Amino acid sequence: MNAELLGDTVERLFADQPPPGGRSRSPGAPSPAGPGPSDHGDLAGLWDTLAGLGLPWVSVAEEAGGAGGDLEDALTILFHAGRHAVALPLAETGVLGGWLLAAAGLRVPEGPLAVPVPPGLSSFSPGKGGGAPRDESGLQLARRGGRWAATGRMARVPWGAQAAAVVALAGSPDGPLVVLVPPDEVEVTRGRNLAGEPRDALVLDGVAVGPSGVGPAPPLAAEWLALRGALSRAALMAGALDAVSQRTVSYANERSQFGRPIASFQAVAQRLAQLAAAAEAAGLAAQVAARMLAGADGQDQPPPGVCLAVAAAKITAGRASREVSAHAHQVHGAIGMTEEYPLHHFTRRLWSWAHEWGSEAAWARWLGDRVAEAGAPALWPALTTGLRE
Amino acid sequence: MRFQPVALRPAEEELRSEVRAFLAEELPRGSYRPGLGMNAVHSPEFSKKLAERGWVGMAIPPEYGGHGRSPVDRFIVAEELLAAGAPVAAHWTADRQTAPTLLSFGTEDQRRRFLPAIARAECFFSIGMSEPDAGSDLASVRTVASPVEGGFVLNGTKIWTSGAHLNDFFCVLCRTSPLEDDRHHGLSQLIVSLSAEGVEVRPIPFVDGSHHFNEVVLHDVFVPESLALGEVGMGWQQVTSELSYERSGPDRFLSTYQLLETYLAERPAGGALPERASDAVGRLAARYWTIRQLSLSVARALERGQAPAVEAAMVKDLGTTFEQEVVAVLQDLADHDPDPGSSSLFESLLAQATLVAPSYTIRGGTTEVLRGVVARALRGQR
Repeated sequence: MNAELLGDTVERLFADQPPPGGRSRSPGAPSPAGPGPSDHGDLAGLWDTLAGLGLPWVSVAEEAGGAGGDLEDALTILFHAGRHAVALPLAETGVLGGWLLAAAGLRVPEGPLAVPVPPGLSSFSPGKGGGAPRDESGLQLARRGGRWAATGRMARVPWGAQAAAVVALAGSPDGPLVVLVPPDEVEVTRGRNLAGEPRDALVLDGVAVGPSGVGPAPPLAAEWLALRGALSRAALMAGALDAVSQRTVSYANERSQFGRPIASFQAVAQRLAQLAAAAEAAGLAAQVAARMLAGADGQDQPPPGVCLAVAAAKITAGRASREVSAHAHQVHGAIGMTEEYPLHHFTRRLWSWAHEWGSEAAWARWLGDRVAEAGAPALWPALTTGLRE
Repeated sequence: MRFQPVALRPAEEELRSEVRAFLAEELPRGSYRPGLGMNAVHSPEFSKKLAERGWVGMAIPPEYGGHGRSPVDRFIVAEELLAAGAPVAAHWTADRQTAPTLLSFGTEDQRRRFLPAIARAECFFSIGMSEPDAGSDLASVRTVASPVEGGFVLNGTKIWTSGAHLNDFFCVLCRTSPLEDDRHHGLSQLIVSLSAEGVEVRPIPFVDGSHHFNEVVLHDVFVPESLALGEVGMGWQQVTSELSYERSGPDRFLSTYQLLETYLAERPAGGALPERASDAVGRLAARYWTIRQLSLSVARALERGQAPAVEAAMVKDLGTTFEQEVVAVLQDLADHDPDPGSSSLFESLLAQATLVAPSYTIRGGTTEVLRGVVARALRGQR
């Protein structure tokens, strides 16, 4: 499907969702769609609508049960999901879990998937004999008769309690494997991130997994997954940043004090300009990185230019989250500090997502180490990598 | 979102390789002191070498002695030169500002007279806009051009005129008609020879002791009719129209790149960075990558015939602020007060950059003015 058409379709779909009860809606500005933090993330409703259109599985190969399309399409959907603070495990089902399953030769099941967010970036070392999952997923597979038994703990699993299945990388005597864990027999402790999105802790103790639930991990799986995870958050954040930017500008143009819109005061106008520019920077960085990662699909190793682009996109989104949230809350004044006004649905997600799949600091340290390793003369050539025709 | 991703073409990457090969030959690292940005080092010899390769006056059409290259081609050449700290100050203003103005508004005679010389790096220009009482508020300039037989007599004072002591001409924004209700009416641009009778160039030492700035006093300077740039009375429109979106190029974010490169170059070989430095360097690298993508996006938009004034203002704001951030971050990592006379190139560049950096967000349109441009565009949004 044409990228622009996809974006428009998805945007309309999310915009048409009724906002959860009691939340005010500013005409023209994006509102959070789907279940909010006061629910425990009931996945029905919006999920069913999206699933009916195949949207959660865009970029997953049709042969594996996905919806086809490429990574860039999927990240476009995530951008729009972020724009409406959609509270659903779209990234986990498609570009993360769906991808892992398809790459391992497994079939993608129906229903939403959960993929654990690793506690840090320590698994990321493409091309350095990486690929073996570290303890992040905390999952180990042992043989039991003709089947596997999965044991371990996974903290911070988005919608772990409600997902149809959990997908993760696991260690085993046969090397790294992709495992699809059924929800029964999993001990769940429900949790939330700062935005109130479910982030559950799962404990497995010898959970049986059949052959259709285990497959060989693709080479450098942890590395590719880290890039996809970071980019999924960067795309969601870029959308949320766009929404906050637009909502804040609208608010400042409509809210009058001292006989004129507050946007007409220089101190406020200067903040709006900074806020808009920060959101734009994050948006472009995420889009370029998405296109570059999509272009590297199928290669043996993630090219250094692609890793740099993803790092830059995640770092830029993180920085923008801090700046834009601060400006937005300041411009909105007291009303932006209420539960009823929708601003916090976005800013809390921005603050949360900034720390997932590698914080700004984690990616900055990774990038700084690579820059130092490569040496001074290599920096400029590295910075001029980008999209090529 | 306003910015579109840019994919570079094979021919564009080839141009980059040519510039890198040229620099490796002409300016091998260690053989020169890198300049901090577009205005730092004035070298007519180096400018002529670039001109011989077809890299000055790239935007000028071939019929006027130029090369008819695209904004992205110019972007690539500019970023390679600036990243290397190459001495480009002599031709920079003539190439980036005067030539486009002559192309858009100049008479045929002016184009034929100046454009080929600019493209050969044989004719250099300064900008005659700011005055002691007219900086951000350019429309309030008080330099007056009174009509006389065959031309004008010019009186007034221009200030912050970079390179006026070295260059050949400057374009003077002046009032040719009395002030009316609309202050933007009655302004004109005159091309004035810096060695003309009545032109007095007085140095204004810069904060680091260097000589860039000048005050130029104009006392009864005769300017022939033929050197009125474009239409008399249309000076304001000429100055503000197309030039605003030309100002978001690599010269707005690469002024302090060499500072980062020399910092890395002087690290002990093979030594890993301490965590604090690694974090800082990673953030700077990420920011360079992102701001470059934004600036490149504007270049491609210009190539497509668009006029991305708001995007250009955003890029210039982000870029110039970032140039200062690079200095601040590296100051923080340096463990002592940098000595300008140090044998460490990094330390001496850091000392110089520390003094000079405040100017990045002032020159060519202050941050406050740029943000005002963006804010005005946002005012209609509901």
